[in-house]
Amino acid sequence: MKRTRTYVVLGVAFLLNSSLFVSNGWAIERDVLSFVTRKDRGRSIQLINTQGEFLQTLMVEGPIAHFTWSPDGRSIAYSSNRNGDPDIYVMDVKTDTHRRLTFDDGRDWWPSWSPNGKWIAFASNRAGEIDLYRMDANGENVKRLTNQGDCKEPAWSPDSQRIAFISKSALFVMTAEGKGVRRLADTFSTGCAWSPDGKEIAFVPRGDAVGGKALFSINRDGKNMRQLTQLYKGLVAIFEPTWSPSGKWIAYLLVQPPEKLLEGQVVLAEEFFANSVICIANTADRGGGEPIEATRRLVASLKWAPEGFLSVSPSAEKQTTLWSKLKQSEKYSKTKK
Amino acid sequence: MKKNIRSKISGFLTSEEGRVSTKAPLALGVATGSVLLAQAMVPSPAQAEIVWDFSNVTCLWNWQCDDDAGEVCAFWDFTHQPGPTIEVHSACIIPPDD
Repeated sequence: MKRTRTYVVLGVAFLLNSSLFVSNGWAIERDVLSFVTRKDRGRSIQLINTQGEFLQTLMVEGPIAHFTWSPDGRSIAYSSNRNGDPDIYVMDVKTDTHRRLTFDDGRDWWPSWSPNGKWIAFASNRAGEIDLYRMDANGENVKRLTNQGDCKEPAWSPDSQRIAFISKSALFVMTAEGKGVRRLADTFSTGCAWSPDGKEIAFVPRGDAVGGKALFSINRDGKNMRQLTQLYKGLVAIFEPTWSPSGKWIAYLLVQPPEKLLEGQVVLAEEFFANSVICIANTADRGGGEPIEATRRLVASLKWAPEGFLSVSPSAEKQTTLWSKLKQSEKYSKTKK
Repeated sequence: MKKNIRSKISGFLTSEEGRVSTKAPLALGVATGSVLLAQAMVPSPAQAEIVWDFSNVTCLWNWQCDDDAGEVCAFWDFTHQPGPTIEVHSACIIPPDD
């Protein structure tokens, strides 16, 4: 009887320890965001925790436009115009090797890696209008998915069965084969992101009440719009939502265009996005949303880093440093609560 | 080369995008008078809580433009009348010489 009790105690201790290990480790995905930096003209990807501590820099043969992580965290696909027209490239994070995937004369943007690892969706004007395409992760078997033009910012559902995208100021969803295109809501070309459970899609709605100033989600059937963030006041706008793997958090770029835009002046993109900063909100209660000041004026394109990245971090030394900083930041966030 | 750029700017100004952007004459080096008019027309953020309409934004970042041709993405306020909605337009343009 006593031996049984000992085993039970040991078992419970083991389970507790396992969950602690998970909660203390990389699985706290909200701790790590990745973004293309503006300061070196898009030639590096920065990893930061939610306190704004810079954890690691991945140098790339940029300039990079948009980027997407492979689900295992081993690779990054990105769009770059370093050889002329923008094309899609893949970087092996561990070996720092780069491979070009698209070679057409058109421009290829917004790569999005399917969660099952098989495909990369992207936008291209290779046939004239900007439409969405899909290719195998090695660049083969390119398939055109849309024919309506002005299609951008593809985002895969977690089960890799559907793709959400922006076209003509509206949010659409379709199957991975480009079938069943369905219009869900009015939006802008400011990005969209699936919730990890595949039920909702985050986007920035159009409209007199909230245009550009709050993130909402909508079910993939077009029902149940839900406000995810606070409604910001003042001269700010939301871009590039990215949903954390746990579903608890959503990060986005809060942009404050210069006032001279309202004074009738033309503002170049550099200046339009100059005063932008990453914010993170709790999707359950719209809490948070405060800016991570360390990222102000730095961010061009934003994604959560996948949980698998730590295991392929480029060097043991960097890995140790990264691990250590993550542990520190976790302690910090616990004491903050 | 300079002639080509000037010709392209001229083309831009006479295009639909260019015509609307002449509401933003300062950056294009034209007269400043209409800027004052635009300032008078647009309510300040303090006067009314503004919302954005980015429906007519055709580019957001410079990488969406033709870098080889020297194009960059430019934004302007296209709002026609005082009101809480700021209608922003954007297009790839070749910036004028300084």
